[in-house]
Formats: sequence, structure tokens, C-alpha cells
Amino acid sequence: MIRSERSSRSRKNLQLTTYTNFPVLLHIQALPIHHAAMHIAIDDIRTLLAYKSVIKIMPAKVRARLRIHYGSHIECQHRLSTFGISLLMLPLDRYSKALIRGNHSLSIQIHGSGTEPTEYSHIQAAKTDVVFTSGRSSTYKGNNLLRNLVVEYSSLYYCGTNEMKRVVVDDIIGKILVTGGRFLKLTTDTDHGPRLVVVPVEELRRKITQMFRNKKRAAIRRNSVDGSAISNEALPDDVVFGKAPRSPGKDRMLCLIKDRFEEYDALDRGQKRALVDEVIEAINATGGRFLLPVSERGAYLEASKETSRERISKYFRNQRRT
Amino acid sequence: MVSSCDQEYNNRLNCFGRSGGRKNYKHKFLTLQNRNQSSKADPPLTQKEIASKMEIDGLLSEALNQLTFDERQRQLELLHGVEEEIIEDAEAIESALRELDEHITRDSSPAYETAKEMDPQYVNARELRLMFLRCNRYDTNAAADQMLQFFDFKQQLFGRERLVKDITIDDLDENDLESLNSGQFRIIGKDRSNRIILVSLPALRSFREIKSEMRAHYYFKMSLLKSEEAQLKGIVGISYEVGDCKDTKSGEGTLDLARLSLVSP
Repeated sequence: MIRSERSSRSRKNLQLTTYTNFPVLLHIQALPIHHAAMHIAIDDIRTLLAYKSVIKIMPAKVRARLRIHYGSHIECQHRLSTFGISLLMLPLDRYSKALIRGNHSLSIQIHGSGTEPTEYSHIQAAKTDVVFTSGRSSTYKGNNLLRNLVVEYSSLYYCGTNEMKRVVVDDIIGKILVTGGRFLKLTTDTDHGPRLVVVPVEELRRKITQMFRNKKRAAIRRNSVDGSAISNEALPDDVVFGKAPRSPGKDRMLCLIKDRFEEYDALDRGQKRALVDEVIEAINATGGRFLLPVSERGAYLEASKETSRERISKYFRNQRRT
Repeated sequence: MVSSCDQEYNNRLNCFGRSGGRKNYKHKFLTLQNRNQSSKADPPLTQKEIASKMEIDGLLSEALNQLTFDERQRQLELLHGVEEEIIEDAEAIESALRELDEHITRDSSPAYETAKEMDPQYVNARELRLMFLRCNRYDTNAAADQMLQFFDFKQQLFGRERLVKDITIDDLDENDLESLNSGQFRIIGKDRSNRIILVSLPALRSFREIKSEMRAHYYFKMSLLKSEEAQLKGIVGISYEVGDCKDTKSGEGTLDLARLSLVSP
């Protein structure tokens, strides 16, 4: 076993060494936290001088693990990065270097050790919160920030190892929390009707990693043409996606979407897929096909089932807006 | 012709009575001068302050010199997060727990005795004792000292009635919560070796009385320690006081804090 730096100092000495100007360092004495490394980043020598008495009383082994980084934001952050502490982690605005303020008590929850309540009976979502609404798009500022962060971090996430991915996800969670935002989800499985509950950290991590995967899939879909060329022209019963003249087939599909929209909106993700499949089958039953116009005039591709499903889902979502 | 800056440098050099390392000292002096000139609000450093700066540099380099090669290597590995993982041996743990108990029985404190009378199960809890042993890397003597000090500290902060109780958020009053929510202490993620990084932002210090801040810190850090990984790997602490992140309280309440920490039974 490793010997401690405290060694066998007398208790009297320990009490004397608790004299410190800094609350943070006071805790080193009494709380059973092992400080593996300590960094002090400052830009004012006078602040550093205030640390002198604290540094003096530190045992040599602890002092050997203390690093003082003196300089501007960029200088300090560069030096911290050499110890594996990314500047993205610091709660500072990237450009103005202003401090991002916010309620941070919930951050303890990230590490699964907090005692914060996970369910509130009358929780009200604030603008800064991220609200997961099972498929529906959310316009909360927190949701927008989360989407932007996913875009921002995507290149780092895709090329990273599993550990790196976890760090990225935790970093994103931390960035939302420092703005005062919480992660909430709408639940209907209680006796008290629908209400908002705090998303547990593990579930939250899963949700964010899923967002990254969805983004990747969407990018692949956008860049690929998914369909087979047809030799003849579009028939009246066919549904032509995009800006094409209305046809009886398309009218039938829009009518079906309008009729079944409320049913669709109340379903969860898997059931929505089944409903969309029913719409596809209804069109196919009349001999209709799903076509995608291509740049060549009058030419069409017959859309695959996956593409058709996606396009119809989009029509359902658009219906919500109207 | 000697410039005013050179003159000042020579004067200060004479004050310290230094003859060797002039070039190095001049470089440091000029760096400090330039930094002072760039910040109009800050008056130039006094001789005493420059001497203190040198003393701090000396303290840090001296610390490394005091250690043996192996110890220095180990501390550097810890600093950079590349140390060997602690493997806990069941037999060694049992032996350490027995030793810890002996030390505590020998050097007991009134706060510890009170706690023991109130709830022997709490003070003898294996989880609690392991926390202190892990923190002190199984140095039983140091762990015992710290554990006794912990109970004194806890009694001062939360009183006798909460001495044998795990502090939860419900035990914090409005002022404590204000301090907790200020965001002064933040977990900003984990480093390469999966150690929690805790950043302290003195600019966000907010409290009505220093005790509230300490209670908030106690809760925050003890919550962290619920994770076994945090106990074993330790944490990386950063105090960030650059630009707008300087202590807005200008060290207010620190004397009270010192008094509180010096109160010993």
C-alpha cells in the first residue's frame, strides 16, 4: 500500500496547519478527499502572494503536485491543457472569456452521487431547460443549445474512443447545467397524469449518444439517393414527393395523413412507424408507387420503403405545424 | 546612460544583496515590470512582493528537491494522471481497519466520543472508515488524525444533532443553498485518467456568513465522495482566478474561517 503524504504528523500539527486564507484548501485538512493534482491559474501576482502561507504549510509531497499557472486566459488554458484539462471544460465563454454563471448544484448528479430529487410534483420547465418530449420538437432554449452543442462536438465525437465519447457527452451535460438548465422529460406513466421529471444521468447519456448517432445517419441519408429508376412516367395513383403537380395518389395520401394525424401524434416512436407503414400499404394497395423526381426532366426514381417512411413521417410532422 | 527601469532594477537587486544569477533575475524583474505596465489599475510591485514571489517559486522547487527520486516520480505520475491503479487487498484492508481503530481509540477527541455515544454504528461504519484510509493511501495514523478532525469539523458546522447523520440537501438552510447554487465549485468533467475535475471560481463566491459557504462545501464534497472511484482516484482541483474570475469578496470572511478552523476541543 502507498504511504500517505500526511505521514505520522501529530494531531496538534494538523490543527495548526488548518490556518488558511482559502476555504478550498481548508477542506484538504478535514475532508477525506485525495487531491491528486492541484492547479492555480492566476494573472495577478498579488493573488499569488496570498497563497504563500497556504503553500508554506503544505507537505512536500502535496506541494510537488501543485502547479501555478501565471498569465492570461490563453496562457493558463494552454498550460492546463498540457495536463489533460481541455479549455472546453472551463465554464467560460469561448470568445469573451466571461464566466458562465448558473445554478450548478445539479452537476453533482452527473457523477451519480447526488441526493437531488429526481421527480418534482409541480415542476415547471424554464426556458433554459432541455425538455425531452418523445419525438416532438421542442423550442426551449436549452434544447436549441443542446442541438448546437451536438453539432459543434460531432467531429470530435465521431473520431474519439469510447472514453473520449463519454467525456464529450459529460462535457455537453455540464455545459447545459452551468446555464442553469435541467434535463426533463415528460412522463405519463404515473397516476397523477403527465408531468415533468428529471432525467437520470445514465438515461441522459444514452439520449445524447443517440442524438449523435441520429445526426450521423441523417448525414448519410442526405448524401445518398435511395431508390431505383423507373422507365415509364408517373401514373395518377402514384405519389410524387417534392414540388410536383398534385395527383389523385398524392391527394389520397394527404387525406390519409390528415385523418390519422391525431392518432399518430398520440403514439410513441415504434407505433408511429407502424402507422406510417399502414399509410404506405394503403397507397400500394391502389397500385400507387412513391416516386422521387430527379433533375432530369420527367424522370423519376421509385423510393425505397425507408425513404417513403421518412417522407411520410415528415408530412405528419408538418401537419402538426399547420 | 542608465534608464529609470535599469536604475530601479539595480536598486532592488542591491536590496536583496544578490550577486549571482543577475541575468535570470533581470529577466524575471523585467517580466514583472512589463506585466505591471500592461495593467494600468495595478500599482507596481513592492520589493516585499517581489521577494514573496521569489519565495513561492523557491518553495515549489524546494518541495521537489526534498523528495527522493522514486517519490518525485510517483508525485509526477499522480499530477499527470498516469499513476498505477490502487489494488485493494481484502486482507490488507482488514488489517488497516484494525490499526485505524487502535489509533482512534488511543487519540480520541470529544467530538468523536460524542458521536460514538450517539450512534456507534455510524462512527464504526466500514464505508466511512474506508474513505479516510483511501484518502490517506492506507496510512492508518494519518487517517485516524483526519477522522478525528473530521468529527470536530462536522460538529462545528452542523451541530451536535447532525453529527452522526449523513448530510443531505435538506440539512442545508436557505443561506447554505445560496452558496451552493452560486456555482463557485463546479465539476467540469473528468480528465484522461477518469478523475473528477473540480474547478473553484472565487469570482462567484456568495454567502451571508462564512459558515454557510463551508456547509455548502462540505455537502458538495461529501456528495462527491459517495463515488468509490472518486475515493480511490482522488480529484483534480483547479482554482481559476484569471481576468473576471478573481475573488469578488476580496478574501472577506477568511479570518472567520481561520478562527473556525482553529477551534479545537
